[in-house]
Amino acid sequence: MHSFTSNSNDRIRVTHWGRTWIATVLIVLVAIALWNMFWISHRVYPLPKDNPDLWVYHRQRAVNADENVIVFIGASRTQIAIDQQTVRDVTGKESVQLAIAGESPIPTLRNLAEDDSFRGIVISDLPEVAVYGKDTFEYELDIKNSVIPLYNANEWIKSYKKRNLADKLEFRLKGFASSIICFPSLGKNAPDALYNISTGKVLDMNKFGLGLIGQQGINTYFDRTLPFGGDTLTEEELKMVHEIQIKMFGNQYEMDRPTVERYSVLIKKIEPLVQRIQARGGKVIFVSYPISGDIWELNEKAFPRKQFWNLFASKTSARTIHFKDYPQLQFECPDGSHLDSKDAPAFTKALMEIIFGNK
Amino acid sequence: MLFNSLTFIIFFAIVLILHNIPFPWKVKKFNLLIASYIFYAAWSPPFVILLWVATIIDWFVAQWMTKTEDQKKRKRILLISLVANLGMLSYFKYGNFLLANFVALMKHLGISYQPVEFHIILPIGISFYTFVTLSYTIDVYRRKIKPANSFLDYALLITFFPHLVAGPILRASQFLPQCLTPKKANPQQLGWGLMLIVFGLFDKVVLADGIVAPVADAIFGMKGNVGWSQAWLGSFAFAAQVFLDFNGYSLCAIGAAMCLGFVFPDNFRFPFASIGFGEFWNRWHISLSTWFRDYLYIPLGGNRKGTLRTYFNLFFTMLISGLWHGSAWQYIVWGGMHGSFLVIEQVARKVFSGTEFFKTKVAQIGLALLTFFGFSFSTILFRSYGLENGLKMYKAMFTGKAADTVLYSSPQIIAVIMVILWLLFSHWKLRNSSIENVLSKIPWTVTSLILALMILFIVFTSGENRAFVYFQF
Repeated sequence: MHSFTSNSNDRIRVTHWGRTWIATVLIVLVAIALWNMFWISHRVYPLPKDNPDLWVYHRQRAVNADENVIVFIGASRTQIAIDQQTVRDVTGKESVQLAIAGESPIPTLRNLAEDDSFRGIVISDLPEVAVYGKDTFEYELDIKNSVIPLYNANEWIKSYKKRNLADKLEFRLKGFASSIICFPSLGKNAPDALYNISTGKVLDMNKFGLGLIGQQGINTYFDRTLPFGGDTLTEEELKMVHEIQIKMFGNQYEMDRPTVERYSVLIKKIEPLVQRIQARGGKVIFVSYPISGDIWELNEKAFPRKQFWNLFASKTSARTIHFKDYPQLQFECPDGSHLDSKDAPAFTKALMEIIFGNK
Repeated sequence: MLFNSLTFIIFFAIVLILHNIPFPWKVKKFNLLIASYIFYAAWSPPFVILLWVATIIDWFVAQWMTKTEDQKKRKRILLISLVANLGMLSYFKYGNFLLANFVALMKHLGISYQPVEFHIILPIGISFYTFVTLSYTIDVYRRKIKPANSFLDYALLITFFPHLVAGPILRASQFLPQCLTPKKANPQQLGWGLMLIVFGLFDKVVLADGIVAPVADAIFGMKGNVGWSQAWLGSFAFAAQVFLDFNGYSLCAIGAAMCLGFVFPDNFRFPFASIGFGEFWNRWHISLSTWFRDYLYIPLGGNRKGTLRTYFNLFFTMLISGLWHGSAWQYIVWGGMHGSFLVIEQVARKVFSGTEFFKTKVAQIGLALLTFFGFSFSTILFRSYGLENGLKMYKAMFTGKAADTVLYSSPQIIAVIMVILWLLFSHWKLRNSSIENVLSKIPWTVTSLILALMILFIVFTSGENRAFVYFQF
């Protein structure tokens, strides 16, 4: 019986392998060039995807960190609002972005607390919605109505702990490859991606930073800063993103209305982690990032600041900064929930000056 | 190091270049051996020591065996190899499983026993290279082969990187003779070998990881009630995934070896065209099923000791095969299920041996589909998170209830169904043929186009590098 896999010389067909492979390589190169040109002509610029590899690479930079390293943790608000060059310029310190979109900061805070080599400065977002996080309570959040494909911070941290030599090398190579050539990928869900391309839907999806073509992940710069706002989105598109935010917040609040009791559990989980980092010379600062318009109103309705944030501020040994207390931290958010990327340098400068003073 | 990684591309390019520099043959083999250790160490350097231990023990066992004609002494020497190899396999692969079951048994007997907690890491590929070393010493014991003359050749047999972590499980008789004369791929081998690697990566990256795995993952990971249609779709999707994943790996392994001028045995022969499970196991993971046939089923008596004993031998062999796949009850039940399928098939063959209908094409297609259904049905145990989760899926298949949620889209379902139908159709059409036959009828320009499309899909769908399913064994 002939087999599927040919493995002996007499079964290999004699053909023009040289010209076959040369033609193949040429077709591949031309197709990749055309693919890139197509996306660029539709204002879709290739960026790497935020993923565990990239996070792990930056996490590695925080090993043995001292007071000259600032680590940002939180979620997408942090990734959009912090301009890392501004951090360096204003403070003279190194900046590491470890926030994970759609996730609670607690797993990363715990990971840093458990790393005895870490004595750096942690600046953490603490959105009140973190009380929904799996890490706070032993229950699963039903995400069927959620729009954003949530990442899993615990999985990312696990991949950091498990990283072997081959993983490290692979990341370096991928980084090098994407610095030379980078193109939008069909992602993990190729059938949906192809369907979306065929219907033109992908061109809309692409601009929201919501997983792009194949819903594979969120586009990011190499330093894990996320692009967002008026420079890349039209007014109509921003309106749509805003509606998505309203729907997402609304769904979460309807599903499981928060209580102060539940929030207190969150506080109790955080405080030992803060103390552990600060006991060895590190520093932890919690920041409430700017939100605006009806998202702020919705947030105030669900988590009145007086009952929630103020309670947290009174219980934690870390410094806390609420954007509402500082006029220089107040910005209009295009979707209500995230800063516009073009405001990131101004916001970052103001925040750094509040924390470290003018230099 | 995964075949579907940039690291492997660089690694393989360096190995290919070194292999084509006109060094003496011994130096080239030494290069391949060092490259193989680097390939393995990229995952975990300390476990290379384990590989050395397995290699050295069996080298000396085989050499020692040839120094005596006393059969009893030879048997005792063989026992050293069996104890050492199976001991290491048992410790690393089954240590936690045995301990957990011992604790459960003690609890059942009313004895409270809490062992010291220890974490055992499963060294990648241990099940595969242990079987290679075992077959070597057993074959020497049976005088089927002479021990290797060169330690270098023998170490390369165990460690050669294309087969090291997930097969095909090589036999000494297949590989050692190839080490005697210098091997370098000719243009035909190189062209075809690279093509097999592309085919393998397409199977793995595009079809398995890009199309069927997301649906299988969504269904098997569902928290609420799984509907009957989802349970069936999940079983078919995972059957397709495990084939595409493992066949993809095998193609890459065979292709990589071929690019270096070495010949590996086939591991898959269109298994979804099998008419019955007897034939299925002659077409699926062939290097493993023939290993169990030669080193377990036949020594147990095979079909030479009466009907009932044959049935027992089949059942027992598959049970052990299940255990080889994983240290959990679900794998043992999976093996038992396949053993039962084989026994039922043997009985049915006797009962219906004179029935002409079963020789018709319609009946044969029906039986092939039944075999595919049976295999897919069994894979639920393979994929489930524990026996309980597997039973939940089986229950869902027959309750007729709708699912709580749908976690995948219509294009995804359509793509998965198309892949499954394509696999069934292509396997049936090529059942007695080969991919080479098909390709030999098309012009090189079309071959180029097919290759280019495959490479483009590999490039455009590559995201995270998902490990091969069989790496966990």
